[in-house]
Amino acid sequence: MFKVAVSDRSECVEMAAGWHKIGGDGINLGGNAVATAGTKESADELEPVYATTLDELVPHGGPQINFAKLDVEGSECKALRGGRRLFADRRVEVLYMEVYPKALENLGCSVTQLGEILRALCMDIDAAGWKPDFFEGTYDLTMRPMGTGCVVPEVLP
Amino acid sequence: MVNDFVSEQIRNHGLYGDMQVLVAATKKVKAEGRELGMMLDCGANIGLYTMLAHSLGYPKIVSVEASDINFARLQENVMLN
Repeated sequence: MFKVAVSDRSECVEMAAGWHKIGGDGINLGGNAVATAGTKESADELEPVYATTLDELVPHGGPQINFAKLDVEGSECKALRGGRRLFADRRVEVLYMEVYPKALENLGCSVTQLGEILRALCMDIDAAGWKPDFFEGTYDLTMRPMGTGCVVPEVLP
Repeated sequence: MVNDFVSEQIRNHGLYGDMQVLVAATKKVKAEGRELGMMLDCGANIGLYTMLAHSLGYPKIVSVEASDINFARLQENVMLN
């Protein structure tokens, strides 16, 4: 178990706890996102956190990852960029993601950019169905790697 | 509290997110006659997927959670299970 955030590099970030709650005292979704100017205002609290990359967290040369879940409240683009070696080594067999486009945008990414990163990582985003999650505006995506002819570039989009 | 919504979902539906996806992926590995390798739970929250992976027999699980309160619950849940 690691108490860290995931990013494209090692850095210190602030987490905004419960930032995408509905209404003032409404439902708190359990979301804890890396804070931005927009989320800081609505956050219940801010918490300094160390961030590192997936490639640092998962030992190189270990077993296949039969199932990887990525639910990082908008940090998906950075998290995936920090896992280049993991995907280049074809370690991830199934990637399950919860995607909340608004959270992506809050952290400077978009659904289009996320798709570009996943394709570069040879994950078959185009075959993944966008299944609506129980929270409106959020989607669950499940995907597998593309064929062995796909090569992950040195530099990701 | 940070986990109110997660807890309510579990009470009402028994599952959070699409946990059947993990079950299906695991069954596929086993059906192919392969040994389970690792499960990566990135944004583990209080550890629901982590605990399910444990119960499904994953020998290695990497769980990552940034929030103080969620990580404390994750640790408690892993210790209890």
